[in-house]
Amino acid sequence: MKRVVVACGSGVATSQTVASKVNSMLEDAGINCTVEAVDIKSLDSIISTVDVYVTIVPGSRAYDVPTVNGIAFLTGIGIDEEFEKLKEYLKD
Amino acid sequence: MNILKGKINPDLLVFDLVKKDATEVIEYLAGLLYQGGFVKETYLEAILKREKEFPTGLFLTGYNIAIPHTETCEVNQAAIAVAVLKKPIIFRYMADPSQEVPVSLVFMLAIKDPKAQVPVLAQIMKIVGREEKLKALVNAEDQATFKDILEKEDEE
Repeated sequence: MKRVVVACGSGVATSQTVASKVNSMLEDAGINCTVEAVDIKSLDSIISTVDVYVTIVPGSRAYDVPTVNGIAFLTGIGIDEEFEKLKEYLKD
Repeated sequence: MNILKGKINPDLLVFDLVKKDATEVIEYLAGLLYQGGFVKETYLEAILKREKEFPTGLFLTGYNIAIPHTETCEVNQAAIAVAVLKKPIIFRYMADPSQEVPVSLVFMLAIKDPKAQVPVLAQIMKIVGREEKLKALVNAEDQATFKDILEKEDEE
């Protein structure tokens, strides 16, 4: 199963809210994958197992993993575009 | 049922706040939370540090907001402190701290249980994501109007 990870500064509020939104949108679209919220500090250790990284914090685009703008899922601005990208990345 | 119903404490809701910068706004709201016993004394320092490292300014349509928050260990009881700013104050953009966000509305979150907080933040974002609701919040003249907009049942 594909693994989507959302990271924010503390892994407390923002990333979990975005993860929950992404998860429900993927479910509605009938796409089966896991969506997790993590603390940015723990991202390094798991990034190699991640299929798509949803970023909310600055300075973290250096990973060699498809990346989606997570703030779109928080504010709703640009959300359709980012969701299309996410779906594209989750195709085999 | 709107999850925000009953979550907006009148003691933690301030209008027409005039402050010099984002730090002063955060100090003021953290002070309200501390006086109410919602957070520990260390909350202010923790939230300022986090805001510096991971800012919380967000661009929306019409007006912009900030959602300062921090680790759960500084919090005694979950609460939301809200400030409507008299004039926009510069916060930094969440995705890129080099970008300035002129913020009109600040939701400071004291988070006790992250899981319980998710629907609360999601609901706030849902409301402020609607241009007309955000405008109504920023221009609300009294607590009742402001609370009504946030606590109103979803039409959908």
